[in-house]
Order: sequence, then structure tokens, then C-alpha cells
Amino acid sequence: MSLLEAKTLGVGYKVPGTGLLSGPSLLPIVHDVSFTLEAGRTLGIVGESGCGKSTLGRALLRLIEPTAGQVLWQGQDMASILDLRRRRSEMQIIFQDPVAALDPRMTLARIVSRPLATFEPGLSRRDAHARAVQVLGQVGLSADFADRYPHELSGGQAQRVGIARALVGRPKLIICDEPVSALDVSIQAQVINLLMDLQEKMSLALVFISHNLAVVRHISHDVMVMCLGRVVEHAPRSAFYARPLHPYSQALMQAVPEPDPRREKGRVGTSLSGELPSVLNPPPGCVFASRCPKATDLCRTTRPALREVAPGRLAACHFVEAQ
Amino acid sequence: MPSIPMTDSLLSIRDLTVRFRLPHGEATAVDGVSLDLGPGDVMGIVGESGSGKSQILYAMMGLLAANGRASGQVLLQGQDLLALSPRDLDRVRGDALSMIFQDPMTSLNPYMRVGDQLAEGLIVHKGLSKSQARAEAVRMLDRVRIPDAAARARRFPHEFSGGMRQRVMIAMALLAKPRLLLADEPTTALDVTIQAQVLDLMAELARETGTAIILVTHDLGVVARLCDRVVVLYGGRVMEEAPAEILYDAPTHPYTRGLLAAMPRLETALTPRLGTIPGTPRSGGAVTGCPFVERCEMRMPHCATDRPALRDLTAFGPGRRAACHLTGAAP
Amino acid sequence: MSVDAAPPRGTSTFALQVRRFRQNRLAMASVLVLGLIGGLCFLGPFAFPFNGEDADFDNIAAPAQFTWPHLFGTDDFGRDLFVRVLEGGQVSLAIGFLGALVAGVIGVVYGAVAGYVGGKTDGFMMRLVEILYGFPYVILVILLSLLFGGGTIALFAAIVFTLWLTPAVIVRAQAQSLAQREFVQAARAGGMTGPAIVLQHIVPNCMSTVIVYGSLLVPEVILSESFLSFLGIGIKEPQASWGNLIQAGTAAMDSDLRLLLLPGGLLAVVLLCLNFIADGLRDAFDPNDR
Repeated sequence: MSLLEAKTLGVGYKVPGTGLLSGPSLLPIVHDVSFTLEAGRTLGIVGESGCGKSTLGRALLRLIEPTAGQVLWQGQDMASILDLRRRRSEMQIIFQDPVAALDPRMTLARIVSRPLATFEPGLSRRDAHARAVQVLGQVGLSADFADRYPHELSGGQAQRVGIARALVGRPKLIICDEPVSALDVSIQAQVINLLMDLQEKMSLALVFISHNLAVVRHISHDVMVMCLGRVVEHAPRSAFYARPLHPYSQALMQAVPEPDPRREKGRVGTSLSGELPSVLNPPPGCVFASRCPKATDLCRTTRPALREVAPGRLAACHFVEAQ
Repeated sequence: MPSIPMTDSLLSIRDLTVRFRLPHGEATAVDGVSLDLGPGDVMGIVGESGSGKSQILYAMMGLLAANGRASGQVLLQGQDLLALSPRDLDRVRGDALSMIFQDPMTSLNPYMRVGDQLAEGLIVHKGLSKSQARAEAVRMLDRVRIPDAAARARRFPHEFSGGMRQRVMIAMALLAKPRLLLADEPTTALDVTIQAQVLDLMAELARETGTAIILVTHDLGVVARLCDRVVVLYGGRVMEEAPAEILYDAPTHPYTRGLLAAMPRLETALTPRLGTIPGTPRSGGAVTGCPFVERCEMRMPHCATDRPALRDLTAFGPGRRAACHLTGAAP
Repeated sequence: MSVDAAPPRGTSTFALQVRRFRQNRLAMASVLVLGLIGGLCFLGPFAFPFNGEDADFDNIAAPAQFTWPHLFGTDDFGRDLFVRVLEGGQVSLAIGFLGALVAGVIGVVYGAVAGYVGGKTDGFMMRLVEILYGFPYVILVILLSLLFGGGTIALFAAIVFTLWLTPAVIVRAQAQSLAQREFVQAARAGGMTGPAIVLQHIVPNCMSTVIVYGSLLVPEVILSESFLSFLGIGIKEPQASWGNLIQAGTAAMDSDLRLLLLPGGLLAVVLLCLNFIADGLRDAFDPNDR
């Protein structure tokens, strides 16, 4: 029984119908996502804008209601967990914009201790405050920070507070939604190291959502690549980075700029042509067909299923060269 | 002043300082930066937040906020941009000197058709007629690979995607064939595959028109893709300058080393943890001594009091400079 | 593992805003003037041996001679003008601030709930507001006033009933955008219930907007009351309010200007002060000004 399992998870938004008489329809943002995650492991979810990764992250915690499929927490369907509010202590989330994730009118200690009022209602105010200060220490912020306000912090410090708030209820899982994208390089490294240390110490499971393949490589055990709401590749980290199988994954790898001028100058001119497809008007066949250098008519009309193309490796492509 | 190799300089920045008047004092964003750029050179200025990298560009373009003051010299083809009257600066901007910005969403006028916005610069600076300018605009849109350029020119900015808008910006900037293009984080807001497209386009066009580029970014990878030379900025001062390959192969400044160690990579072997630079990037202060001293793991006692001058390190290779008390010692 | 030194002891956002307000000289002067007028209205009458309803038959329609005790003279009934104006001020200011407070609280809570909950509930709540907006103001107040049996309480209720609509609409817009902010999502992830989130996260973060617009409510309420009393619907004689005093003054304008000038002048000064204060609050609290 895995810690977290997604089974053909789908999320859609209601959009008003076009035309006077048509009713609202469901615009799918996430389709058919399945995976399992164990304690102490990190699943990296990678994709560009519109791929649905953030929506997926929130749906895993039921901050957004899934419209299809199931999320199982420790084997139990989340939809049937009755005291979900209390159980939320076990699964938390940190966000991309670290300062916007903190209530500007609260002190840091209050921000971190507030969840305890829900999770451990028996705890006195003083004890909750003490816990908050202790957890702030765990993320590298001294006790002096307790009575500061969010606007006084740098991005990196604010992200640490967000992590502290997530940790205070002693969670088993943290969804990380682009947690370092807004941070400077040197601070990114600090926060990533912190997350990895915490994972080791507390056997935390992490879902790490990012558009940055290099960051994901460092922190993940498994990688899932998404495009237009669907999973196009899913593989263990080393196999994935050694040999990405899906053309989209390959394109992403090619496009990530490495601090290596010789490699990069050699890449000039290899970029993809075409625009990101629109979420509102998804193409009928493969989600990547409009930009794929290997696309054929088959690709444009028939969507390839996500299947196992090599042991432990899934890809959704008609032409994957198997191992 | 250290002697800086005089190339056939298109641009010569000497001791540029930018200060901002704040309610409780003054903040120094740029603290004595000197640079040279030759025709057709592509230079990257790399720095984290608070390094002052964007303010250098704004000072050059005369776009500083109302409470900002620039001092020093910025010589473009012999003319000091900082000393020009607003009218004279207007003649240079959009003609010999061009700039593109980070946010493609707000860089274009939402009420004007795209083709007209492109044509505007040509009419004003090159004296073309409306129809001539419009034709040039369509040709440029085609050149930046906007599909269906003639029809698209009649559309409005909101009908373009982010990547396309940035390409329109590049078209606009390069249409007047400027001698120098300034780019402030032009791809930061774009998805990575689109970013690659836009960078390639910039490289191609710049070569074609012979335009020199200064690219400001926090991304060391982007710089590696586009730039011949790299300047590393911290706390408003130049820490290190070198040709791109050499900088990445053998950085001498502790800050550069720290940045490179902190970047997660796709190709090199994984380390259990990323290298880090302790502390937070400094912003806004003139300071005695080296601005990096609080975070530097190799600091020596006199680093906090003696400002290290930006010195030529030709012993380490051509075109290299660094501001560090350590260089001089073995690498 | 501690990495950073804490930033120097800072101030809460609220304290920063208060400091900005304090630096606005015009606003601070207005606070002073308003305070003086308020003090005068509530405490001044104690200095006089009579109240505003006592008729001094020896001094009917006495002009302003600036002599004790009738500083500004008396009206046709022999009642001291100055004390009547002060007592009128008590009524007008009390209704003004209290009315704005009540209308503000109702509006804020209504708007915050509508904005946060969204969907059909929001739609329903806002349609209600729009319907009420559609009613002609004076007619509504007259009807409500009669409904509640006339008198001061009825007037108060009627004014509040019409005035809570604007704060509700404004706060609803703010609440909608706040509901999307990550710290609200974090609160939901932290298991907070909807009402708790509205009270502890949404409303406090709307306070800047509320204070700015609320401060404009006060002059609106005072003007409303004055206008209605002027029309004869509000505060009735012999109780004084600036409205009915101005009405009496207007009637006597040709013969005796001071009956109009004193209450009218004070009303004008109070409204001016309130507007400067509202401006100052907006400059101090406006997040865009950061």
C-alpha cells in the first residue's frame, strides 16, 4: 500500500457554453494521471505552461476537486475521508511565490503556529508558539524571526517560513509547487538542500513540481513529464536523464540552457518551431504533434496511449525506440 | 583606473554609479562599473537580485526612476549618453540604441496594431513613409518567424502568445538596425522551449545586422548560449569578467565559483547536495571593502576594509579581469 | 544550521501605515480640528447655564454680540444659538460615526462572504445589492423611516440600510482577489474552515480598503442626516441637528444670516476635515503606493 496513489486522476473546469443556448461544458485541465509515491521518495513533475502540473498538485490535496479518477491516501480514497480537515496535517503544500503565501498581517510565529489550532486543538497558545519557534529553527531561521512580518523577509527566507508552516503538523507528504522558481540561484540551492535534508530526516514524501529539468534531476527519484494535461513520460530519474524517450522530453532537455558555452553554442538552431498549443483548443491526436519533429499523420489523428516501453518506463508515443 | 584593453570600442562605460534617494537615506544600486564593448560583441551581465544589473541598462537608456541619479560616463560611439539632453537622447534611443524588456505582456501598447507599432520607429527615426514602413514591418515579422506576417501585422498584442510577443519586441528593436541592443531578462518569463527559440533568433539576427548585444540575466545557462563575454555583477560592482568558455571552465572569483557550484546541472555527475553560498544576496549599499565579504568562504581579514580593484588577469588568459584580493595567489 | 541574521526589528504593516498617515500634515491638522470641534460639541454645552431647548424670554431673537452667555445670540424662540449648534453637532457627529461604523461592519462582512464563497451564493448576494441600489434613495429612506416609526432611531436605521451597499461591493471585489492568493490556499491546506478564513484572513487584509472607504462614509452619513432633517424627515424639532438648524437658517436667510452661517459653517469645516483625513488615509494605506 503506497503512501499516495493517483488513479486515472482528472480535473476539469466548468466553462460557460458558447452560444446562447448551450449549457456549460467541462474543460479538462488534467487527464488520466496515475502514479504511486512512497515515503521518503520524491516524484518530480515537469512541464511548461498549461501542462496542468500545478492543478494536479492541488488536486492531490483536494484543494481543487478532481472531476475524474481517485486519489488514495494510505490506501483510502480521499473523497471518503471524513475528518479531512484534521488529516490535512499529514499532507501539506508550499508555493511558488513565497511572500504571497504568507498573510501580510501576521507575525511569522503566528503564521507557522496557526495550523496547530486545527490539527492539535488541545495545544495551548504558548505551546503552539514554542513549536512554531522550534520549527522555524529547523528551517534555519533563528528565534529572532518569530515576531517579524513577511514584508521584512527576502524571498529565500519567506520560502523557509512556508516550509516551516508545512512542517509544523508533522506531515508525511509535501507538495512543492515551483518552490524555487522565484528565487536567486544561490538561494535556490539552499532551499533545495533544505528540502533534501528534511526528506532524509523525516522520511518525507515530496511531489516536486517544476519547469526546471535540472532542479528536478537533483531532487527527484522518479520523473513524470506532462504536456497539455497528460503524462507523456514517466521514468526513474537516472534512466530518464540518461536517455529520455519521448520527443517532448528530448526537446525539453535540449532547450534547458546549461552553463557550458561549448555545449550551448553547438545547440543554437536546434530549438523547436511552433507555439505551445492552447489548453482551450487541444489538438485531436498526440498533444505534442504540432511541434514534434517526428510527427506523422498517425500522430495528428490518434493519441498514443501511455504504455510501458521498457521495464519501469512509461511513454506516450507511437514511435518510441525501445531499449 | 586599471588599464582596460581598448578594443575598437562601440560602447565605453566608465565608473558608472547609480544612486537612489530614499526617505531614509540613499541606496547605491550600481557602484562604479566600467565596461567596454566592440561592434557586434555579445556580452552577458549576470547577477542575482540586488546586483544592479538592470539599473545599468536603465541608466544607459535614461529610464531610471525619478529618484535615481546616474554618474560617470557612458560613451556610445563617442557620445556620452548620460550628458545628453532628453531631446538628443530621444534621437539615439530607438535608432542607434535599442532595448527589450522582460515582460512581453506589458511591453507592447495594447491599443495599437502590432504592425503600426513596428512601423512607428521607422517613420520617426528613418524618415520612411507610412507604406514603406509598414512593408518593412511585415518583412521583419516574417524574419522573426511570425507565421502569416502580413495578416498578423494588423492584429493586436493580446492576440499573440508570450513567445510571439517577445519576438515582436525583438523585431521592433532590431528594425532600425541599432548599433547596440540592450536586453533585460528577455526570456525569463518564457517557457524553456520558447526561450531557446527566442535566444536563437536573437543570435541569428544580431549576426545579420551586426548589432552588439548586452544581455542582462540571472541565468548562467542563457548567457552560455548567447554570449561571447560574461560580466559577473554583485552588490553593484563587477566581480569578474572573462570570455564565456574561460569563465565557466576556470572561474577565479569566489562568487562566480559559488554560483556555478549552486546551479543544478543536467549533464555533470550528481552531488549529494548542491554547493551553496551562505546568506542572502546583498542589495543597496555602498560599502567599504568587497561587497561579497559577508558571504565569501575564502575571505581574508582585509577584504572587509580594502576594496579590491578590478584588475586585469592577463596571466590567466586574454580578456580576463577580476576584483578579488585572492587572484594573484595561485588559482 | 542557522543561515541568516534576522532583519532589524521591524514594524508591522499597520504601524508603517500609521506612520505614513502621521507624516501627512494636512490630515493631522484635520484630525486636530475635528477633535476640537468634537470636544466642543460634546463638552461645550456644560459650560453654559442653559441647554439648547431653554427659551430665554428676555432675549428673543438677540443678535450675535459675542457677550456671555449668549455668544452668538438667540433664535426666534429665545434659545441660545451656540448651544443649539453644539447640541446639533452631537447628534450629527454621533450619527455620522456610528452610522458609518455600523454600515461599514455590515458591508464588510457581507462583501467578504460573497467574495470568498463565490459561485451562486455570490451571485445571489450581489443581485440583492443591485436591486437595493436601484431604489431611489430618498424614497427608500422615507419609507424606512416611516416603517420604523419615525424618529432618530428610524432615521439611523434608514441611513445605514442604504449605505452598507457600497462597502459591500468594494470589499467583495477585494475578497475575490484575496481568495486566490496563496496564503488563503495555504490556510485551506491547513484545514481552516471557511468562516474562520473569512474572519481571520480575508477581513483583516481588507481593512486598508475598508478604512479608506469607511472614512468617506462618515461625511456621507452626516450629509444624509442633514439633508433629510433639512427636508423635514429626519430629526425633528425641538431636538437640534445641523440639518434642521440649517433649514431654519435658510428660511431666515434674508433677515438673519448668522442662523445659517454658524451651523452651515461648522458642517462645512467638519466635512472638509473628514475629506482631508480620508485622503490621508488613502495615501497611507494604498498598497500601490509602496
